[in-house]
Amino acid sequence: MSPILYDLRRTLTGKFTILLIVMIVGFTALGAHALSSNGSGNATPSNTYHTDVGYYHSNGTYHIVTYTFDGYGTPVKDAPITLSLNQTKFINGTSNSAGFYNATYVSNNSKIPAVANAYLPNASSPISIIPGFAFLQTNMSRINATTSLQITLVNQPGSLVYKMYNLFYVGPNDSKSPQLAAYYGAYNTSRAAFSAYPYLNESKMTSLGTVGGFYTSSLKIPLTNANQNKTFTLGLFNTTTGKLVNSHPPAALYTKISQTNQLTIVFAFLSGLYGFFVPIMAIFSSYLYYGKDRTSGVLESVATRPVTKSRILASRFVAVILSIFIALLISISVANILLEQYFGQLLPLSEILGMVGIFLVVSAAFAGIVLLTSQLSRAQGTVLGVGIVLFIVFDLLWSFLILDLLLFDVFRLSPFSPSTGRITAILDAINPAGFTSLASSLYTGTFTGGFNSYSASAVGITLVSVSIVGAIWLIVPFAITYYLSRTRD
Amino acid sequence: MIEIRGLSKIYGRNQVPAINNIDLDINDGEILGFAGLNGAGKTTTIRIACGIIFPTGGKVSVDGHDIVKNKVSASKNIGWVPELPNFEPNAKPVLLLKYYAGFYGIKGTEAEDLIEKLMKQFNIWDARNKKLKNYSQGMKKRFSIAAAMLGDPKNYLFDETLNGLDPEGVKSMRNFMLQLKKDGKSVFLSSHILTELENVADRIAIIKRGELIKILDRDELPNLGKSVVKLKIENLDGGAVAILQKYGTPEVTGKDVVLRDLAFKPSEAHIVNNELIKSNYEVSKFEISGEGLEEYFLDLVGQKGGI
Repeated sequence: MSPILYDLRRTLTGKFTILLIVMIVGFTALGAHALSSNGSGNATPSNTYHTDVGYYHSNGTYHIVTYTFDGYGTPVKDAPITLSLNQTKFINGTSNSAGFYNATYVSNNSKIPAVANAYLPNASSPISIIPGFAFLQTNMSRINATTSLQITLVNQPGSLVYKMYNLFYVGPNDSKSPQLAAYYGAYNTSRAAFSAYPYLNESKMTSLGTVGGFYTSSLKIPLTNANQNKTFTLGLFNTTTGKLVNSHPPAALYTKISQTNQLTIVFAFLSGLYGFFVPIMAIFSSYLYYGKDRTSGVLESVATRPVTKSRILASRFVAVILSIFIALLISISVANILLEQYFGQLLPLSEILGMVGIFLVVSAAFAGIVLLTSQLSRAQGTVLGVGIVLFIVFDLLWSFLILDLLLFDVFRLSPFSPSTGRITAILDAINPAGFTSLASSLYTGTFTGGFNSYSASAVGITLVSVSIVGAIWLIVPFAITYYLSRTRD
Repeated sequence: MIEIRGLSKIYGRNQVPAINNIDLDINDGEILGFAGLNGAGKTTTIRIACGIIFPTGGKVSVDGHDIVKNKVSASKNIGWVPELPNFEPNAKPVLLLKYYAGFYGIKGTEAEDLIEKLMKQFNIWDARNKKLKNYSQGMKKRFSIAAAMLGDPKNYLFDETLNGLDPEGVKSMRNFMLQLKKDGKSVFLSSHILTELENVADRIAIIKRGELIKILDRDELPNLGKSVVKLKIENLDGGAVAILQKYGTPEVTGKDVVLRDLAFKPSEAHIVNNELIKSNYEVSKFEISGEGLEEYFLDLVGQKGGI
């Protein structure tokens, strides 16, 4: 058996490695699922709220129903609803768990209340509220004199790019909607830009089937990659008369996100996860599969074979890095597949390998330092202790120790000063875990240091500087260890 | 053949050398015993010769290859068996031996066949599916010997390998080493069990506080050190002891007496015998010999009378 294969096999089949790979892949999959469900950042569909309003008029009373839902069409409860007339608020309430709020207003004239929303009280700010039809009187979509039907464009659940129609019906005496024939038309962008959309005709549209018997419902148009450059109209027709009941104006249903944005979101998500797991895997793998063997004397039975000690070191190092590479490749690929629905596209292999490469630099740095410690100390406790301290200081407490304590408290630097940004970038460069921040800043062009964001190049983050830092962390700790293994016991 | 020239090792600053300027040859077809007290430098010498640690000075050549500068070539002909073999505890023996075999370029079925043969030879084939952490110390030692033989090296270094073995194990190790010698291998055997060294070694090197102080040839062993007279006096009493005290220092054990520090030449020993007989003592045994390796060794290393 080739010795490198044995080292790789031993590292990959070790209980610790298997556990870490399972955890990394598992948490990545869970995180990707959560990301696609909740989005990333405040302006994502799950943090965007809509309120549609409908009413019917019966015996001198307006029965007003509001329906609040998020950007995925999911009902939102406890949304504050305010009704006002002539800018005077006169009814306040909140949506129930199904997203509805019901109110009545006694009036025989045509002046009916307006509806306004406030920010949700318990949500983290800022929350983007998209008002529905603020003035019922003028904007209400009507089926007939006493009913209304709203059509709102929302994101398909778990997707940042695919959209669908959300239907909200209010009928007399809380009746559900009648049967409606749904048709859609796909247009080239230029034609759909017409202010009047000319093809709202069943014969010129594609059937989506019938819908009916609902208060709220959703309609999805089958979307393929070919739909990226098209806009769509939706028409709902009376199934008996064929008369148009309501329609939605031309809108893009599949808006591709730029790869840069996608990568930025995915990288931010993975950085949080791998910033924790990758150093742990690097530190403990290099300890378990080299440091411990060396300090316990197990490596001596290998060292008497026709091989140099530096070759053994290199083989173990490569095995550790390869096992992390495999863990990263699997987990990022899984995340990529899970996030395809969310982003509407897969990240190309080159982008995945780029991310893997960045985290491999981090793992090589941590592994290299642990190997170096193994070379300098014969005590297992020392080697393991140094690894744990490295993780705690560089990975967990770096921001607190360096930014909060050292820069702001001891040196009294302003969190907003430009020099803080530059110093923070330098500190990231001397921290093996900080490489992800530098690489990410290089890609996005923005670096956050202290409480401010700076242009990456303004704080010295350039392709050259990041490459040098990466190369140093990738090579230097291991190279020193390699040299020592040739000259020290 | 292993050639050791001017070998020195200092483990840390301000520390005395663990070994100092050792010169030694272990020839093909020879068993060289290596004797010394604890901490004398035996293991250090062997660990340097195996390439486990680096020398501070001097060099070790294995069949002409420097163990430091030409480690891979030199190690191809080194088989090392330590006192307490230490392997990956969770490793399966066959797989670990395959890993070791890979360093010698032995792969595939060739490796499998060789491993089976060696494990059977050392009676551990039945335990092939056990993890090494479940092996007894004796089994680990046998596994270690099998591992040492993987590349069919020309030189073997046994570091206190006989320690902890039962009499049967010692006997089979003795036969194994003699077989190696017969096969033209060079064997470097460090041991505290001097009688075993006497039994198998062609030469015995004695090391004291890191310095090589004596190399004995096998034919020197019977006449080592100062001469003594060994007697057996059937009617031994104080009078006989008083007579003997005129000629040296008698050590009495029952009817047996060893007369040391002789005040006469060994060729004149009959004077003692004559006087005893004249005084009506019945002398049933009277012989002149050396002290024996153990006494000689303790004399040399300055530990006579207890360590």
